Amino acid sequence: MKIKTLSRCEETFTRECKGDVVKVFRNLDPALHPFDKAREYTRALQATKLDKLFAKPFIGALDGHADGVFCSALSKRNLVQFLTGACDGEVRVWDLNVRKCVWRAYAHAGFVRGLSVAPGGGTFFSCGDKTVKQWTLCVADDSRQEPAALNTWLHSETLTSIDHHWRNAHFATAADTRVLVWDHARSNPVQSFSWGCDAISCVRYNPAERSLLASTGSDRAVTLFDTREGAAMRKAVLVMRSNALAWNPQEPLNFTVASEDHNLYTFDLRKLDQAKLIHKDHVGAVMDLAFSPTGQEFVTGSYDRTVRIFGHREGRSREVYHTKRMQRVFCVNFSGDGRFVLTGSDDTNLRIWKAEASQQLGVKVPRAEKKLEYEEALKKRYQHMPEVRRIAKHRHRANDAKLKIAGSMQEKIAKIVNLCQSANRRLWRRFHRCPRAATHVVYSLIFVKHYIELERGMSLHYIALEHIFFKFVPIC
Amino acid sequence: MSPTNRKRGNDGSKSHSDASCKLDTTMGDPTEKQGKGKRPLVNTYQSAGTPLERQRDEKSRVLYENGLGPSSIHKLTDKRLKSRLKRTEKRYREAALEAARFDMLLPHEAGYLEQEGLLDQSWKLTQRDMKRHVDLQTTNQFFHLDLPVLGPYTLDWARNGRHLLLGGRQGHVAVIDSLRTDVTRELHLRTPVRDLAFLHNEGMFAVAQKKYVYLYDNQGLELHCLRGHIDPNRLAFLPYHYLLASVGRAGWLKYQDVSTGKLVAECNTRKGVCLAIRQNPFNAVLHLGHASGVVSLWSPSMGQSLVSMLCHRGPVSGIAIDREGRYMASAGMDGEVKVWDLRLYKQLHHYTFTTAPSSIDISQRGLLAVGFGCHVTVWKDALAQKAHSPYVRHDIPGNAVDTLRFRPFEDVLGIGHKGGYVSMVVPGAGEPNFDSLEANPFQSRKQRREAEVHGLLDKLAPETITLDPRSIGAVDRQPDELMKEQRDMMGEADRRPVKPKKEKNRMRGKNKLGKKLKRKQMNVVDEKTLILKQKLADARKVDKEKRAVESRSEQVDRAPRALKRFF
Repeated sequence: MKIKTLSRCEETFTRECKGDVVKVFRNLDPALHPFDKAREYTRALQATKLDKLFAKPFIGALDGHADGVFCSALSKRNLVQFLTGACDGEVRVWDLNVRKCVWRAYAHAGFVRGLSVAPGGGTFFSCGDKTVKQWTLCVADDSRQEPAALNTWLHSETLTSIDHHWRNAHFATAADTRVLVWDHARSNPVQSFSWGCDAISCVRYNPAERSLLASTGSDRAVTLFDTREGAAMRKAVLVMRSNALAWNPQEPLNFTVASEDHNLYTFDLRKLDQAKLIHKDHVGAVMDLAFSPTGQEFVTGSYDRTVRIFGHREGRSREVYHTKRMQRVFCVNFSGDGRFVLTGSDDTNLRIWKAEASQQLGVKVPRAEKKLEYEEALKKRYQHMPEVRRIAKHRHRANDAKLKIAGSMQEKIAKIVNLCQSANRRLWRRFHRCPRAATHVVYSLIFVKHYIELERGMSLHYIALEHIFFKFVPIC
Repeated sequence: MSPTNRKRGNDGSKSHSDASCKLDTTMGDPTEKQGKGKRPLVNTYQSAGTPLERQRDEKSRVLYENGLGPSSIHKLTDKRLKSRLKRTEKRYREAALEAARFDMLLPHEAGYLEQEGLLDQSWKLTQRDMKRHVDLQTTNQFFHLDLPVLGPYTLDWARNGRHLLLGGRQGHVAVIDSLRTDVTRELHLRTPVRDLAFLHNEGMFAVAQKKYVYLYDNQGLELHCLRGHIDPNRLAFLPYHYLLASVGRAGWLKYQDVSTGKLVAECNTRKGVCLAIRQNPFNAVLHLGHASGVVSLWSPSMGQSLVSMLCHRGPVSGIAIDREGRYMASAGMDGEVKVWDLRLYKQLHHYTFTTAPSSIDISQRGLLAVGFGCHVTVWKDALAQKAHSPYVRHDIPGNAVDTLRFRPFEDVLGIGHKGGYVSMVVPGAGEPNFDSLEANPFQSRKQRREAEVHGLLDKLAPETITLDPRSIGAVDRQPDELMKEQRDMMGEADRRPVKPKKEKNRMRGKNKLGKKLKRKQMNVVDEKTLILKQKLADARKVDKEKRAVESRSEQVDRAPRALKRFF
């Protein structure tokens, strides 16, 4: 008879002294690991809950502007330089590392309409009233004397937007109904484009096809220009006007526009007849957007006082940021490393947020990093389970009630507008025949207003007003 | 297909492929199949020719690719989704293959008892003979404790097999460290001890005493008295759910969450006294053996038993379930041990004993131990087929066996009997390769603490105890209409108004003399009342008119300016 029994020597299974590595023995037999799926699910649920627990996205505010912040820009060469322009004409340069203002100047008489950093990173351009100014960009310089502009370009019309060429010494501005291309060395624009008869609000150079320009205007159009051809290329007309435009830095064929109708539209520049995707969630006009350097997501700021982050292929936002005191958001930016979001709003403050709400800042030990990776994988695997999805999707919104009202109002107005549209077309035709018809339009406006008042028992929401007037103004 | 063929292992692989073929015919579209006859419907791995590799691939498919049946990805039209699912599936299959490969690297082999001659019978080998032939360390496992006064003894092993909990019916409780062969703590409770169980680790244990269940720590300190568990007979602890279950003389099964202290569920079994309780390690369902010969299966989320099966013609004295949840062995006072297939709930075969078996257990590697009278027999390969002779046996003359429990991860069977405890060596009983992250017999204090925290974080909700634990995280394949019906029913139940609690009719003091007189005066109509009533009606009328006028003027005020001319 042959006998063998299990006999384990303790020394082979335990470490000799404290400094040794802990011995781990694995056996992957499923019989030894009961409830593996259920336990994994529980872990995913815990990870999702922890995510919510640590979701504290607000990092800090940059305080100093005396008026609402209207535009901002980041250097493509430097992570810490951040430029902002306010409604009172002041331009400030911030050091994001120490969160301090390092340079400031009253650059323009009215609003600072646009800022853009030259590709070298040494200078930047500001545009406002009827001038474009070039300034030296230097974070370390702490001289208190009033700085002077390096160059100034004058124009006869108001300039509303500026974007610098990605490589050459060119920059483009929007001047009333025209898009102008300027050379650093010339005092007059070298090229001028126009298509349509309304004011242009935003001009952007394509990051890959460097002679391609896109603009949005109040004629509801998105227009593409080619500077080599010297003519406009294509045009898409949307339902309402677009406030801002941004090219996807990783897929430069695509661009996204922020529209007044609370949505964002992603277009493929080859197919302008139809938007690739509509990004919905805002309940106010979207004022600005900026892509992450990875091109995977973009951040938007809106008139509804919230900042949202969208995946570039997602129709709904994955994150919404708001604070009690943050007013209408006019400019947003993704930091150069894609980890932070910078916003400027009407309440004169600049705010720094994390791009991932529950992201842990600072150095992580490898073990913690591994654990986070594992949790990330688990969350992804179980994201469709109802409980996990519910927790992951939940957002606390203090002004939820307000948003809901605005949302329902939006729906209602859309309905009325649709109803009125057919009637208006008739009126429009009659208007050409007899100018008195215009009064009917005004009456119908009053009707809409009172209808809503009676419905809600309150005065019209600002956004709603804007919405209706826009629809009717061209008709009147 | 006979139930014996459904076993995993050599013939299990065959049955798996059978099952997958069956699935194909039901799920696949027959017309499509004819059209694309060449496409293999099952995504099999193309393995190289060597028999070893083929065997490994087969094993990976059978053992590790849980629920990865034939895929229907090729039917999808969404390209992006299709490629993503394909990638995921590939990853799963690779992981399964890796796991199968890992098996070869396991360091230890299981114990065995091999006969050399034809007349060599393993059951003839006594423990004394065995002791002479095994290594020095194993010889330490042959021992007995003579405790003739406070018996009979019942026992429980900690989950990693290191600590032993011994309880004498007369109130003697001892915690023994089996690795060091050392008594860590001894208690004399002076009340009957009916059953005991370790909680999640050796740090705490529960004792079913005369009136209630008590919790103690390893220092012998009484931590809690669970007054919800009245007159308990048997205990079971579900380690992944942190649930302590007890069943008593009245037949109430109670689940207590030991991490939160909440009584999770109380189920009335309605089957009277219960003498056997055992958990199915695969799905955490509790099996109760009743005096009527019925075995019933319970989960805390159901008020009734999930399954109840008539197993014996007499009280059920013991239940044991193998660790993969396939076979159940039940012992009855009718002198029989029956083996059941838990997927079909059918009897496979039975063993008859001269004396009624008192306790029964199945080891990690599937050995069946039966204690009857003062004898213990262990049977090998006795679950899938009927074994014809015992594997090992042992007698304890003059002392009836009370409880048998195999020690996890060791070749040891612990026997509690009338006069003490016997440790018996059974080669090939324990799992040779433990997983340190699951149950580690050589756990340090720090590891134990960490495992405790992780265990609590991964605690499973009591509602997740079902007959098929794999349904969690899987796709619900019920037809759409059925699911919708269920959803509607749930919604309806939610909307149903809660019946208001009927107020108790308090009669006390109602018939007092003063109250009676007052009541008599209540409904008397005289002149005074009539005048009062008239006055009240007049006042109401005036008030109504006044309000009507007011509301009209208010409406005009409130209307927007443009609409005022309509009023």
